[in-house]
Amino acid sequence: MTEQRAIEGCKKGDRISQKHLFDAYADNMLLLCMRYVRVVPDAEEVMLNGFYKFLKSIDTFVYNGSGSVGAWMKKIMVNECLMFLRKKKELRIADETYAEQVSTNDDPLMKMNAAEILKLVMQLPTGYRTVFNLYAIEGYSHKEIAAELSITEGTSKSQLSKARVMLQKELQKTGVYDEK
Amino acid sequence: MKSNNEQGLQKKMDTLDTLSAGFVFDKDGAWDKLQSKLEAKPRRKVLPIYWMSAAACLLVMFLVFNNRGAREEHTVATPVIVIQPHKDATGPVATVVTRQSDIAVHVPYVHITKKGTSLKKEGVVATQYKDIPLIKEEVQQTAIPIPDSHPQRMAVAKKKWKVVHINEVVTEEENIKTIVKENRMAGIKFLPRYRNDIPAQETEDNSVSKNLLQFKLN
Repeated sequence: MTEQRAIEGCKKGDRISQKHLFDAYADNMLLLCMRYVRVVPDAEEVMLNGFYKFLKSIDTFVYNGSGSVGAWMKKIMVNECLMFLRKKKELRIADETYAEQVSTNDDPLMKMNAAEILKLVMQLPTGYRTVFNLYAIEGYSHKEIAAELSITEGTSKSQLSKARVMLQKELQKTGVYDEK
Repeated sequence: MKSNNEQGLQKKMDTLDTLSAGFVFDKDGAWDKLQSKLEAKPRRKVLPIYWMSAAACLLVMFLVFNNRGAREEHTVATPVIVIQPHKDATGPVATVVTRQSDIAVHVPYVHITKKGTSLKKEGVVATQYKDIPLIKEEVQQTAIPIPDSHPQRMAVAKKKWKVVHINEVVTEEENIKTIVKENRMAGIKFLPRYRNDIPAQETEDNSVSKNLLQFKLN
């Protein structure tokens, strides 16, 4: 079953089509949620809520080739994660203006595999982790992050910079990153 | 503009699956949960009808009892009993007897106890009776209007008489004795008359009435 036919089937309420899409994206979406929520049962709950909303609002979705389903689903999942963090009152970021510049030309994260990166990211505090996830992995701009989290762009930059510093320190401990 | 490193990181994370990340994910179980969530009927919002009806009942009860409390104190009209003397009566007769009674009905109020609600009416009825005076110089009477429902019935003041008490008669014993003597000498049968307009009636024991026997005339 192609992705397009699965989408059409989902619009008709076909369970097999829904199961097909779930099987295709569930793993990836769970890991995405875990990057934000950190606790596995919570991440699973958020992922299921995201899928539920995706399937309920499938009528408004317009298929634009491969990747469009994943992108749309990711957006829903990210919103669900942010909503979950807001409900838990974990997403409190104080306004900051100072942004320490950290070089990203020679990013040591690129030397690590995805599983190691995930573990490192999950160790970050909620504010740093959220901004890092949104900027470095999801590809949001600072402006979009500021609008999404109700913070200033300066705060977003500062949070990202501090997240990078913290990641470098962790990498130094593991010996992956050598400061010159 | 994102750097190449960040774009590469994005792609790297997309390729990750749960198994390689070291997490055990029960995909079938998660699907079952999602399916049950999808099949669940949307819950209708239920209006709190029971609470609303209970509140309405309480409001009505409050208004009813509050309205009762606000009622003015009622005063019951004093009943008037008029006793008319018999046309042949000779003795001292109370011609008009008024039975005065002041009836004040106080507002009943409600005692609400902790267990349930009990209604206890409390009304105080104060009644005063005034004895009939044997002698009345003048009975002040006025026409008492009867409510419109009985327009024909009207208490009418009767003609007033001067009634002499028996004790006052005794004080004039000497005078009466003299009158009796004179009457006997003249061969006139003693018939004391206290009132000129009422004819005296002779009884079996030659007294005018039962009351006259107490006069000590003999």
